[in-house]
Amino acid sequence: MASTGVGELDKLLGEGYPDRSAILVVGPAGIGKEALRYWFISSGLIQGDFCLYLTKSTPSEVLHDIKGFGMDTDRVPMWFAREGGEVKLDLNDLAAFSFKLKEVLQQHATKRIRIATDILSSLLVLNQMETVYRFLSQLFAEIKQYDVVLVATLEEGMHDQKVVSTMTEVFDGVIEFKLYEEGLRVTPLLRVKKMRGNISQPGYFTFSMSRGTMVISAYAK
Amino acid sequence: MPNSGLFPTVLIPAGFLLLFAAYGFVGYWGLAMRRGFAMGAYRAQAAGVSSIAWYFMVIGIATGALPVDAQSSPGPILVNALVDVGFLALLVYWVHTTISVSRRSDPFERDTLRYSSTKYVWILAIAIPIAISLVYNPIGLVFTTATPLSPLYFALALAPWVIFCSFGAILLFLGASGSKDRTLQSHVKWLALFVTVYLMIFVVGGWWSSSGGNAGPYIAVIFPLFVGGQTLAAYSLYRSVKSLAPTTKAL
Repeated sequence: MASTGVGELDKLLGEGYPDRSAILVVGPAGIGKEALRYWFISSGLIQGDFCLYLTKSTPSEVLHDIKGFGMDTDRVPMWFAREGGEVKLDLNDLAAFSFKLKEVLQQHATKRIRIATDILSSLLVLNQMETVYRFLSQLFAEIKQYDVVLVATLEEGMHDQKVVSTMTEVFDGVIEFKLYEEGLRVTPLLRVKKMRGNISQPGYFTFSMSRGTMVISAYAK
Repeated sequence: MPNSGLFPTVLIPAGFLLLFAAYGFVGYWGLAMRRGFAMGAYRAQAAGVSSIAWYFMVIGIATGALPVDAQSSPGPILVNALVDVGFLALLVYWVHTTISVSRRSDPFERDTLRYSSTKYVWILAIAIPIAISLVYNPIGLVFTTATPLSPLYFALALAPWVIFCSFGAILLFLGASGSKDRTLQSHVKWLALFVTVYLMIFVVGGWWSSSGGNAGPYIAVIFPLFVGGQTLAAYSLYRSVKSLAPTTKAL
């Protein structure tokens, strides 16, 4: 198992994300999905895993966000980024992206590899859903030959429900974030919608994030 | 006669009370949405919209409480100038936070009109005429060499709005259409409607004052229109607050 970087989420999932898995975190923009990517990579860097960050932003923008969540940025992952990273990421060239990714994975095949990415929504906006579905299915089959755990986020407001449902099928695990409107309150909730090999904890949990920590507690209406 | 007894003593305070409640409700929802966000950029955007609503709530009370015949004295004129500056400042802040959010949801993270480097020029272009007009207005009142409605003051007061409405609108249009985020596009659409309705009320209000319409037959017609327009503006602002992020009512 690969630690999520959040103790309470690890408990919720057993010990963390399953080995050789691809995890999808889906929810509205701004709710804090990004933090799960940051904690996951941060935890990997501390444990000495090889960490790779695939982003449509620049490394400095991501590091700025990480600091905003109160996390350390002393150690940094390898970057596939729009600019400023070790590898330039071109979302219009999926074949070249896939080739470069496999090359990097081969070079670090002896270690556990953690990949975090924010490019999924952009891929779905720029390409047909079927194209992205095929691309991800092939990519996941290939990268799982290595000791890889991948965490990707999907912006709920940018896609149809059909696209979101299709994407949840491709991934081994899905963590869903929601803004629940209850009377005159808006409560951020999360649930483990599915997780390979785990008996998912049923129901929703409330959570809060502040200064590098995430507190999760069972939600009761 | 609508303006002889019931209208000024009951219906006008009731109208302002309605606006106070409507904007207060919108402001509350802005803060409720803000509490749901963990990312600083989205919290700032929600705080910006909420502040606009709180601002109008306070304005509703202040306008209702201000004696009508005090509008030509220096104090209320200065307050009015600050009131206009406050609204513009909040709108500029909202545009700033919304552009930051729209860039995040743009598949290519495009820097709309190179906003990250031009934002200071834009903000200064709005702030400088405001600063000059704020100084010029009281000087004009004290020395009476220039009246507050002189052409220079009028140009200074108008310039920030013209700059905001031209550059800000283009910026938002490009930012929202580039973002591909339907939630954000809906938010911008509703807030743009709010600003449009408000500016229309502003124009009608100006005509009302210049026609000496605080009493007499005008008030019975204009005031309900004013309250109706403001209610529509408050509703637009409410919808824009609710479209900051998709929420769910069923689990």
